[in-house]
Amino acid sequence: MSVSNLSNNQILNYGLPCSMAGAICALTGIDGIDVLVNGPSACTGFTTGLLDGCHPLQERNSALFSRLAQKGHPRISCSEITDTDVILGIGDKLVQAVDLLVRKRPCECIAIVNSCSLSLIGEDASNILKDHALSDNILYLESTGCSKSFAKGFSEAIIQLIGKVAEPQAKFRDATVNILGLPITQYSWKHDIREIRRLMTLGGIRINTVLAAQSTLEEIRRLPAAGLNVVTNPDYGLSIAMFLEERYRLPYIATERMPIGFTATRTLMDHVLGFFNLPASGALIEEERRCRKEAVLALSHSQRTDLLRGLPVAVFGEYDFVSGLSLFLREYLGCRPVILGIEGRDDVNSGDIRTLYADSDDMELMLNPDADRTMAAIRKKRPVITFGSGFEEYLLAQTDYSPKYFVQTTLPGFNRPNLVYRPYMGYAGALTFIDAVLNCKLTHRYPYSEAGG
Amino acid sequence: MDETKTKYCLPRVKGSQLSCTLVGSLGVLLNLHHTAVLLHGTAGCAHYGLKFCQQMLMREGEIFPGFSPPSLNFRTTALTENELIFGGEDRLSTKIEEMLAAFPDFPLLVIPSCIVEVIGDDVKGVCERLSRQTGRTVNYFNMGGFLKGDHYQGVNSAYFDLIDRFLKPSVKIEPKKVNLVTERSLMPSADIDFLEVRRLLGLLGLVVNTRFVRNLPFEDLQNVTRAALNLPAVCNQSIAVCERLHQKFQMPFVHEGFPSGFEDTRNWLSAIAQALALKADIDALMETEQAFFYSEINRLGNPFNGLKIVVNSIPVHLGWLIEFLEMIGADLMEVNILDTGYFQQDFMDSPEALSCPVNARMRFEDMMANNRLKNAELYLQCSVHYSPIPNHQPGLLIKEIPVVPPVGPRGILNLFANWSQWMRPTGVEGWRHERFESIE
Repeated sequence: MSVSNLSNNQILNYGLPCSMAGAICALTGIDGIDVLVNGPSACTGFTTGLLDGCHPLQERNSALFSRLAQKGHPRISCSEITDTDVILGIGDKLVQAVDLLVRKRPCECIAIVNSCSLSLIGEDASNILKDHALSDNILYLESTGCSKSFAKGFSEAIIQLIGKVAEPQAKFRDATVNILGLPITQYSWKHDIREIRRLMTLGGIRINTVLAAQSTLEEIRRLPAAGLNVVTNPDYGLSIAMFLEERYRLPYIATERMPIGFTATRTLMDHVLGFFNLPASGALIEEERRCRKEAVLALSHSQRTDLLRGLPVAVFGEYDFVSGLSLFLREYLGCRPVILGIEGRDDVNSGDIRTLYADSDDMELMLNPDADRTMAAIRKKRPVITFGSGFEEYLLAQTDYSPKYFVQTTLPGFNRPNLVYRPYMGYAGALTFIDAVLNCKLTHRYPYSEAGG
Repeated sequence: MDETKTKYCLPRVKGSQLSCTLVGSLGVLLNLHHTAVLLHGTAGCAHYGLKFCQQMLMREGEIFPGFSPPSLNFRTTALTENELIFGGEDRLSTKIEEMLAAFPDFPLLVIPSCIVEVIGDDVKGVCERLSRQTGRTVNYFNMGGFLKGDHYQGVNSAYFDLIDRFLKPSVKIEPKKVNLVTERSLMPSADIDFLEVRRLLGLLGLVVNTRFVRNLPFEDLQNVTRAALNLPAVCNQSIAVCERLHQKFQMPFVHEGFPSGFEDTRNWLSAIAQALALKADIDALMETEQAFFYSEINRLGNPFNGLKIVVNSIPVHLGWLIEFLEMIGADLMEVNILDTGYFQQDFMDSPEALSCPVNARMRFEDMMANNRLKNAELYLQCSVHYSPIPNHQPGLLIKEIPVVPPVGPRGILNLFANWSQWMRPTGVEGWRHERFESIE
């Protein structure tokens, strides 16, 4: 295994962008919160462009269009700070924007997020808002950081929000969990929520909230009432779970990586059920058996048994996803991950992957890869199936080897919708990837040759 | 020459930046091939800049094979909190040295982002010092992110810097060669428009000297001043660039952007012929073009003949569209111009210039009410964001007007072919009849 570490993002990282975008993503995922970006409209526009594709809302076609919502996402506004404001003070513009937002779109909470350049100026916006009696129901994030990752911005914003709105209260009587760490920028987030809810329900467990993914402020207020926090994506959810444990003595179970595949799902469910001293229900056992049977029937078809063993694949994305998917592809399907590109981590800790692939002499692990390295690795390793974002697809299109297939698994997706139920996590998630891999491979069963051979 | 208009259907909102100067300049400089570009700022800005440029080129899922990935020579200093507190000049120096070693044959272009302006790094000083020390030219572009203005100012700043520093007067002028200046590189239609422009120029016996700047090798910048005439792509922005070229190198230019529609094309060709003192029968050329247009319409069948159409727009240039609708025999009932007070008005045609009923400066609610009364068979509108009618209503045909008007007669013909295809009889489109609380 070779490792190329381009850490510190010194070379362009194709992962998700800055921590401000992460904070906006987290807050936009909660109904009842309107986000006001205190900064230049350009930074806002770029972020809304990303989020609008993940969580489109109906207001785009309505007369609710306003100056504040002109950046493409009705719940993200901007104070439109310019150079003059930086010199003369941002107070007036901020107050004007908050005032306009309050009048135009009544909401439960306004979250003000400073852009990095504004946070450097050091103006005390919270006092300005207090002076104008505008501090009610306002969450003010002074700095989301300039060099932190998207995931860090996400979790820090959520921690601040929880600190403001969550209330200690009596525990729910039934076995109830909070799901932490599923951002709406995850390509399959809607399907994953559905799958997790389905499995938990089959196991007799109730979900209070899937935090920051179509959750509500009321659910966040009730967070401490749950019996357990379940972290499905450690990068996004682990620090939130640790905060909740410290603040409210709320225990948590964290997966090492995204629970992709049968074993990972089974382990997660066993841990959660074990925590509540619940036996695995018949329905849950039956569901696992059904999905496993479907997988085996598909894979053991007489013409497919030899298709996937040793198949070179590449996986690009954030650590939790890459780690989870590559392990499933390798351990269950027998594929051979030849490139793993881990993006969007500023404190890359790939120890886990390094250990897992210690015996793999032809696997290239790239941390925060850039276009050059990605392109070079793809040309060298020639993966037959590449899982990744539109960026990798774009680079793949520049190469001339064959066969090669691309499966969209992360953003940016360049306007591709993801409508059909295809979760990544859970038992159904395992079938999603088996289906994707088999269909790619079967398409190329008999390679076309120009020589007629 | 008439006052120039920007032929965009994308609105410009007063005080809004669209995107920052940094991304505007990147859009230009990444089109300059055989260079290495270093962004001095945070990794997030680099990500956005590149994603913006690539996303514009990858919309609709299309990947344009002729477009080489500009990112391959693009780097960022990726400043962290540490540098923002103690200064990022050391990091910049290190990165420049790394890039000079990595790209020994390419000139290095350094662009600072707004956060660098805030902390006050002396980027120019570092570039000059390293230029002296290494004997290689490190080119500093003064962009400064949002602190220096908006996207278009970034575009123009990049052009001005290129003109002032890299272009040299040419000893020989090629009388039959022209430059295309500031093409809309971030629009997927840029290369399609180029084909039509090249065809039209061919009618006058002219050829394209350079595309300044669109997929242009850095070394070819020297050839820019050889052209006899500069042709701006977009009026308002491009004119400033053409004026700069005129001031520095006495290069003449026409005051019109790439033409949309027949009248525009006639004027554009006439202006070129006049500027270069060409003897060309423009009327005969245009007659041929029109004859071809009508023959193609007849061949394809014209579903717009007599069709009742209402245009809902924001204040943008619409002359080409009105002319097009008249040519295809549509019954243009009226044009409604939305005015919420925050669109820039300077790109709009005066209502008198449009040969149809125009309701200027309408409120959103009035436009909605007006639309309900009209019972048009087709509504044309600029963008779903500015639509007075939800585009999922049953029985309504709503078509979006292209953000960039198609260029030349063939561009219009292409638009006609696309819209005709769209107008063909179809099923009832059941999805439009769905009723959910969340949509309503």
